[in-house]
Amino acid sequence: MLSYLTIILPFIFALAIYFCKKNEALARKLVLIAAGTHALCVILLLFFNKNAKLVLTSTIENPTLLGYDTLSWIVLAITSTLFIFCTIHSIAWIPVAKKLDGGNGRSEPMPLNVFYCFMSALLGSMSLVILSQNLALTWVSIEATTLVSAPLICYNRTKASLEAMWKYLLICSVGISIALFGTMLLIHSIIGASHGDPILSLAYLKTANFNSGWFKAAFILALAGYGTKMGLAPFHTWLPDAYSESPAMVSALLSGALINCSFMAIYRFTELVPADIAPFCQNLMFAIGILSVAVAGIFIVKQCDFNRMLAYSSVEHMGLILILTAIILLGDGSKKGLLPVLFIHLFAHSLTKMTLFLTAGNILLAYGTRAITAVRGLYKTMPTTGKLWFLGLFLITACPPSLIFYPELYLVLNAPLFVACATLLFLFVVFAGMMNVGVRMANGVPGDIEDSITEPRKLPKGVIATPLMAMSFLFIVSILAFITMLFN
Amino acid sequence: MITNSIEIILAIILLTDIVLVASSRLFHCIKITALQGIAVGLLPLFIWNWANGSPSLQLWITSLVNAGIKGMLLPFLLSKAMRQSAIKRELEPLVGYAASVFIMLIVIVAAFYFSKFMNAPATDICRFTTPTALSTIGAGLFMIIARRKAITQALGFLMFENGISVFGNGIGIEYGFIIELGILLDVLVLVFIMGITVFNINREFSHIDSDRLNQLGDYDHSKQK
Repeated sequence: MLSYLTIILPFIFALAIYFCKKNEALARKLVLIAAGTHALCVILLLFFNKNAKLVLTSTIENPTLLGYDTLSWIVLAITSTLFIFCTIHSIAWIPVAKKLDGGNGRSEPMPLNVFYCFMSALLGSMSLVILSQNLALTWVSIEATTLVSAPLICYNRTKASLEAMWKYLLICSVGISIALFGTMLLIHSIIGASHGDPILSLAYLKTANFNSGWFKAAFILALAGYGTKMGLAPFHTWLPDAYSESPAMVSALLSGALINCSFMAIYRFTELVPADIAPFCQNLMFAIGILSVAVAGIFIVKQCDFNRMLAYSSVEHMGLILILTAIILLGDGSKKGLLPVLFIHLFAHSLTKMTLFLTAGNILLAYGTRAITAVRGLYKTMPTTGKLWFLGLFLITACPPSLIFYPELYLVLNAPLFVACATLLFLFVVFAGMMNVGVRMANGVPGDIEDSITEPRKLPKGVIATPLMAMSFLFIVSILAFITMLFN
Repeated sequence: MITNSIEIILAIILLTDIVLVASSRLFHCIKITALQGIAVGLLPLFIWNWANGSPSLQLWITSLVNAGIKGMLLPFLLSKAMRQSAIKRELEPLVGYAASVFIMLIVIVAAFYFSKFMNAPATDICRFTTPTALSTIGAGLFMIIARRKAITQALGFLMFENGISVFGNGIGIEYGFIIELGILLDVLVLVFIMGITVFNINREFSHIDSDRLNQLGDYDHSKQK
């Protein structure tokens, strides 16, 4: 009941917000209430679950459409946290952006009620993905997240954002449809299903026997399909365009929350892999994961747009998460204890990436361009933002005390030798590339190289508050974790 | 006798695939897609074993709603987008029409060859559903790759979706009522948003050639500024 409420409430609020065309203040209040009630539902889900241990609530005897286990709850909590931060930020950001002309020249931004309506609907559909215990419902809801997030990318209604939206819509829809085909092949590969079995329910699938040949085909298609939405390497082409063109809070939500949802779908498939083809699936996931980290490394080093650099960093982290999942779920079973490490990676990546995107949005607002060469001397021109930016880049490249350090450490320790070496090599490339950008943007004197802007526009304090809050929270958690690690 | 009527429907779907990749007039393409959509929507009613009595109300509703949306509503939305962007033909496709038909034939042959290996018990409904589904999926993907206009790509996506739905019917998947309608709603909203986007792309760029949507890239950003 409570899980139904978690999904339906944001949609109800979305509908209500849409009718606040005249009353923008009410729309703002409603979206904040939507975020708050959702967070409340998520907290209540933790306390009111039946067996107090967060094991899957959908069973074979009673295959419900919705249910949750530890992973679902953590991803849901991350989504809810990010949504709260993003809505609070948007309330300060939108008036400033309107005054400063969107930060990137000519634009006629989307009406406020439509924007918040889609935001709230995105929250609802993401919750549906996370809580879904039925593979077809997962597909329907992931497609729904694409549909409600596509208009958000086009917030500024410029040519470039229109192009990004079209690419996002077409590439992701085709990708997700491939995943539907994969889901069907998965059903096809069940051995001995009798009529009337709940064949799409996860609880049933976990006990089913699969024909390994067909399961292989299903797994490849699902990995390619949901991998498109998750931004894994050969299918990531829409991602830098979409993240760089959308407004800061939308990029933050897409990169922090939405790709976790697509990861959930891949995780559900990986859980089902039968033992005899586990090595094949593991190698496939290793290959795609390493390719993602490699592509990200190459494109980050030569990047001239700081938003796109962050987008490629998402590709990198999704690759790492995929490798970690392959180690944990598809090994000989001895690595199951590493599951909390995966949760730490999901949490830390989402929060750090959100802070970075919000900060990048502020830099874009002040400088009016996303070119890295235009920004010099952030420490002097925007002291707080400059520090946030550099610290964020430091944390996202997994330098201790960053929380991401532990997942990457365990990944390198537990992966096969070749995978560990390749990952480590490209992680260094990513680190070098991002630090290069960070140092160049943060240090120096404004205007000391060609193309750089000497007088950025002044930003009010309100837009800096949310990234600062998020970063303080993250930093305190990181330091606490680091101290705990030192004394253990 | 029932098997024969399934085969007729499948033949219609397969023929519309070939006609679609060979036609250049957009309005014609949309009408062909509508025909295919109706055929795909009604397919579950033909697959139903009528010897067991009349199908359930849910099956009637889903297949009729499916046929209605895919055969009428979506073509209407797309033709509206087409009229608004005032583009009637796909003049210079990336792959010519004769070559397209030839490639389509290769796809069909490959689909029939591959489906020989798919000998699962569920496919005994009709042995031609899987090859037809695979050909339609191939044709849809081919349309998305080989055509320039955004509308033709949207049509390609619809074909792709039709192919998957034929495959699902062929192996006898029952999603349940809610999810069936959810999938339909997704496709409907997707085409709706695509139609609006095509209109906006046309307004901003004064063309809908998606291969010319190349403003965004990795290295030339600073030069354009």
